[in-house]
Amino acid sequence: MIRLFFKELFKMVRQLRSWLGPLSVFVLILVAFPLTQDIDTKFSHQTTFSFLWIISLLVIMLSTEKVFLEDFDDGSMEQHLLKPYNFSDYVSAKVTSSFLLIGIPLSCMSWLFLQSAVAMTNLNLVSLLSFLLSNFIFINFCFFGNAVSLKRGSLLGLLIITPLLFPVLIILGKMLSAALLGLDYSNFLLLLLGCSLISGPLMPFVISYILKIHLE
Amino acid sequence: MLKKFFHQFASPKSYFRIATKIQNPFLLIFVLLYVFALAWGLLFTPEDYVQGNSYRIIFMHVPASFVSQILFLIMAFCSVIFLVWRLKLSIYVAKSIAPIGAAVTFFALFSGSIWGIPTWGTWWQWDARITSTLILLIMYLGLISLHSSFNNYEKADRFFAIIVLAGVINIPIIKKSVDWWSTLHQSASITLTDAPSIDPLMLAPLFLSIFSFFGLIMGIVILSSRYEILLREQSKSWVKSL
Repeated sequence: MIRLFFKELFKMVRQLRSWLGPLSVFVLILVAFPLTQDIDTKFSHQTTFSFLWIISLLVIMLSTEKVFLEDFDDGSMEQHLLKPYNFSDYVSAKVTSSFLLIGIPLSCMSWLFLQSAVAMTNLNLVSLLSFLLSNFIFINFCFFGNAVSLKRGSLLGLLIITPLLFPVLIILGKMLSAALLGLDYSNFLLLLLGCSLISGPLMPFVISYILKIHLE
Repeated sequence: MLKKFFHQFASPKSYFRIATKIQNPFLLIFVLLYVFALAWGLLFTPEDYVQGNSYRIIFMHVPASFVSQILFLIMAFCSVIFLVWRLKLSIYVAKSIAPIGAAVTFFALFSGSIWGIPTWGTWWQWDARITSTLILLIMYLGLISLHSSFNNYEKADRFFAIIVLAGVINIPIIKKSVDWWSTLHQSASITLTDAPSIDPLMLAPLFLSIFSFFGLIMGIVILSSRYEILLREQSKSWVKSL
């Protein structure tokens, strides 16, 4: 499993366009966004956080668009199916590599942007955790959507996963509202943590089952 | 004997035969019942002391909302049966429910929007209940698109069943949204634990409209599932002999 993870990680590192491209797009948007604002405008917390969550989601959708298609087309996915390890381990390795190379940098860059954009008196912890957890959930669901719509274009996958992502976005918004009002936001954070802990172990099995159907 | 009944019923041919016999009487009864319930609710119930006559859309909106969620649960139940026991009839029924569920959900949102104008002063609000119902509509549309995008029915059916089971989490979210979040949409007037907060004069036609609308929609599901069976089993001799 560890060897498989490092293999997928180094494979992804070598394919610069698969992770550096989306991160570059994210940076460009972060740079461009303040240019559309008046110099005297104070960014509201809610707007800035929402903007960052949505942009992170879109960048993750972009980065995971053909995550399985290449392996499916060149036959390496079938090779993984025949190997002695679980097929879900292969999916887990891909998800973890994506989270390391895309999810964590996105979270850090979002948090850094917030330091400059808005007053972050009591929001440092909640903001970083919200980005890390939400990006992890987004990556899992985007992988799921791409597994379902493997050769049928990413739009079908988006149509499938978007309704499943809306509850996550609602929880994020409510958590921020509670944090801004000085209320207890831990229940929302725990809900997000629960979603991550469920989607993390469970999604690879579901995705591997779906990919096996494609390979039949 | 029960096992024999289910084995026979699970055969598309037997189901088709039974459905053909009961379809028309079933539809007729529930259409008449729904018309009666609507007439009772629209014409013979008293005015609401706050909303006046605008509340009467409840006899269309509430049944539609209720049935849209029930249909998704039925789809989920059929999907479980298909994935576990591989009964193809169950996925035929589930697949035929999807477009009907989408239409009913759209009607629930549409009638809710109409009701929103006199009560809330707005067609739409990004309220928890309304947003989660919109998510339900998008899910129905996604399922229809997903199934139609595959040439191979077997693969399409399995993906369909998996996505239905993934999406069923939305139903308790819709149900509990008015309790978990402070929403514009009112909380449940009819609960299992407390007495209903609706006057009995309005409650009786409401229950009847919910029941009759559900029966009507199930009649349409029977009709739709018959066509789905004819489409899928068209190569079978019993279909060719019809």
